[in-house]
Amino acid sequence: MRILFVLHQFYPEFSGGTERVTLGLAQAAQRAGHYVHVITSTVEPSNCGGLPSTKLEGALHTVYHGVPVTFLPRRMLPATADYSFETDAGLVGRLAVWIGQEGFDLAHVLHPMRMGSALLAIQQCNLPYVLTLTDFFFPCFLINLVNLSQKLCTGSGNGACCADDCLVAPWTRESLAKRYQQARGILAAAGTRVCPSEYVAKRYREEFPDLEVKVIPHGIDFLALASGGMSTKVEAENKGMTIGFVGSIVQQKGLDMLLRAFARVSNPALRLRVIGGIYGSSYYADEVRRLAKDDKRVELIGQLPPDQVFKEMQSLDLLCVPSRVPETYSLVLHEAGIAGVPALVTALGAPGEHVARYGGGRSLPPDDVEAWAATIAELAGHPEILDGWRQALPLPLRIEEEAFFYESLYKRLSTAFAHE
Amino acid sequence: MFRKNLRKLCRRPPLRLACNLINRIAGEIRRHGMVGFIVRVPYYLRHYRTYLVHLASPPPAGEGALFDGKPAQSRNFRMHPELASIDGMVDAAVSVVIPTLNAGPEFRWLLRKLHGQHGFRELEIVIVDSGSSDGTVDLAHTAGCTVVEISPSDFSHSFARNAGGDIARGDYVLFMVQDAYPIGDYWIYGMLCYLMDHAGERLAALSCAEYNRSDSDIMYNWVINTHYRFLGCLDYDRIGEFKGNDHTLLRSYGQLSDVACLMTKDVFRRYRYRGDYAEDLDLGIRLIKDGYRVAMLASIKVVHSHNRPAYYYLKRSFVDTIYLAGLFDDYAYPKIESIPGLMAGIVSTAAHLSDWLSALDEPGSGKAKNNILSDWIREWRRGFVDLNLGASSQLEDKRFDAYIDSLSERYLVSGWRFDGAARREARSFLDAFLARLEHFSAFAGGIYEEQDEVLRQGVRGAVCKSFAATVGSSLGYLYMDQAQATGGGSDMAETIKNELKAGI
Repeated sequence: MRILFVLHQFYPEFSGGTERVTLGLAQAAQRAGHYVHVITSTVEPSNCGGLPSTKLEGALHTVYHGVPVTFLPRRMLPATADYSFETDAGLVGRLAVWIGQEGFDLAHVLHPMRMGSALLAIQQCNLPYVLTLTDFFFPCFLINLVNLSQKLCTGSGNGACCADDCLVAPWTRESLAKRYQQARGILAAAGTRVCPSEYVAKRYREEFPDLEVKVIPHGIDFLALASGGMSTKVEAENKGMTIGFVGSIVQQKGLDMLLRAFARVSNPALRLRVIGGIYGSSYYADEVRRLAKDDKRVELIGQLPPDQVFKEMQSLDLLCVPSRVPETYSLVLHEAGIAGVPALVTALGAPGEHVARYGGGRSLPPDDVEAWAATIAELAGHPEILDGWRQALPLPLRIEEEAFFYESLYKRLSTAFAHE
Repeated sequence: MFRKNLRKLCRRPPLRLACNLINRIAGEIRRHGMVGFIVRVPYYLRHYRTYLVHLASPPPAGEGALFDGKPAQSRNFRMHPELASIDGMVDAAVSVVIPTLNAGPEFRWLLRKLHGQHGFRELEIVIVDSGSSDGTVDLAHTAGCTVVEISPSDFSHSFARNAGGDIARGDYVLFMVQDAYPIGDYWIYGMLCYLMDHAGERLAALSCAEYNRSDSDIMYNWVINTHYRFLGCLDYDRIGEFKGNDHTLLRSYGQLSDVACLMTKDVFRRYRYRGDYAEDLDLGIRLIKDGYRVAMLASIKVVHSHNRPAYYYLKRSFVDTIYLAGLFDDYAYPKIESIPGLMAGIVSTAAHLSDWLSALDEPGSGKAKNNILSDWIREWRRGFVDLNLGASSQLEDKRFDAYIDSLSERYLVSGWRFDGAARREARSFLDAFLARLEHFSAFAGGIYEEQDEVLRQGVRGAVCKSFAATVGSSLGYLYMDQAQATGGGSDMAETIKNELKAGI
């Protein structure tokens, strides 16, 4: 099969969760004998490593770890593409020609942000596509189903509630209603819709009750993680508890709350290791640095390659996932599962449901410094609780399993297969 | 009316910007509070260009019905139960039998995955260990497995599996290998259902195809792709039955795979495994010759692959050739016209490839179109004809290089003549290697376009391993030739056989 992967941003410019998942699936498809190509956008073309494409005017092209990538510079896209499905007619036409020339058998869309023109071109070419709903961009232009008042959204109401709760320029009530219709159109025309967690599936079923969705969790690359070495836990010299935060240091992830909670637990044997890069608001970054600096037990390690992250994770006694927004999956929570590390998570989104369903940790109210502090203190005093959680840790899906499931879905839709 | 006019007014660009700015500020204050908004002002100012574009924009254009494509029709074929449906519990006890030897740290993942299987009544895991020293046995005991320990000298693939199967308590026996990994938590359930659904068609055993690990190299990807195309199970489930004694039919329809092979305890009891090589193929052929059917599944797969060095491909290819030639009377193989010619072809090609490898690392040999491999093949067809016997092999696998050099030392003795027969034999070897490489090139060409450094490493490895496999096959033909000619094998042939069969 010739498979086109579509998402909003990609390596080397960005290296977030959706990018990791896409690269993993693309490389798995290559190992299985399929041709793959990623089409995405680039915000800073000088950072994407691409050269002018010979096949798509205005686009850039490169090969990243064996995977061909075509970048659409941001300037080619409509101004509102970061939050709408707006298309550019000329670009749609060129993309449709390119798709036809490349002879793709199907597309796998992992994120529609900025890619409205590509999606329309795919539909115009009658190319079947699989949709992975990695977040809530379809029903929610703010992505996370958290409204402007920082409250969890109870539903878009076909766009009407968006206008009531989140009307912000340049949106109008009418345009939000149209956005909802467009989202429905893209969703309805997909051959298959896949969510990475039951939590996401539940929300999509609430929003679009007539559209069937499947659940295929994101797979973890066990082998890449373990390439840095798999070890049994080594007793810390100070016999205390080592807590970890692994992820991007942005406000939504709630590290500042964790730091405040940690500061309230006056146990000198505790340690908090923070692994991850700083993105976005420098105000927030300054706040985190200030909170960390005030506590000698806190170590800001910075960004690490995935295999080193896993190695660090194996030295933790407890992972904390203090997100303020409902996460749709949490790769790091599942990676911790392989490392044998239980977790404290917020009672929001997929991580909260995962822990509630399988055990392996505890879920706590979001942004509740007291609750988090009390739990950390409890665990420091009763480490046997962690032992019990470790026993209950479920084994996550492997990247190979996820890729095989998707390959099976591709085959059902692909124009390359005539019959059983 | 006032509101309508106000809205019209706000659509004009300067006023739109102003209205949007007020609207956006209000939104940010709602989101972050007044204090939160104020502290973020420097951030907004730093990114003013981005905000300005959004603020100056009219609302996103496009009608609601813009994306009204029709969904594609899904084809109806059997899928993994986790993608299709799970219809209740299967009332069956399954014994999973795994021969082990130093299974390594990934073994705990396999055991956890097996214990997490759902959809059937009872699971037993039987480990048949032949002398592990890395804690495999302890791990198996801790995981509640039944452990059988055999001495290393007793081990063969048949003996170990029969030992495990004999004590298995389940209604069904599933033979696996220690480095395989089930796909999904209803993997066993899916295979059970398939076996039961087709029991009325005399389906006696099934295996599932492999799905490559995330670290599999391009050589293995190609080999397994070719293998499953031959078996007819690359994309669809294949049920095989006896269609004749032609070796191609027997192999393609009778193949089972002990990476994952399920059968009833009764079938195992009556047939068991035998031999010390390709015991799974032997079992499958016996079953179909007795009127049963065997299946290779593509709808349910198991994670498994191996990255092997060139030396392994040399030995494996040799053993495969002599095994198949020995098993099937109609397995045709080319006659070796000139032993010195064959050796010269091998040694010379190794030397040419060694030169190519060292040139590949030179500056400027970075990205290239994938069809450069076709260009190389064309060049080599001309250039490699010239004998190059002076240099040693430098193909990045010490054991393989040493073996090639030993062929030169032992069999290209002084005084041998490169006569017409030798020339033809050397050319024949080169053609066989390049034909194999062309097949690989066609496979890789369908997947990759430009080579980046990641791909280049895979391609160079595949070239060397393809060469090694060609050497192995050719030495296998030589052995068969000698065995036929002398009635028992010459000293040379027996020496080569003992060298290459060890450990396979």
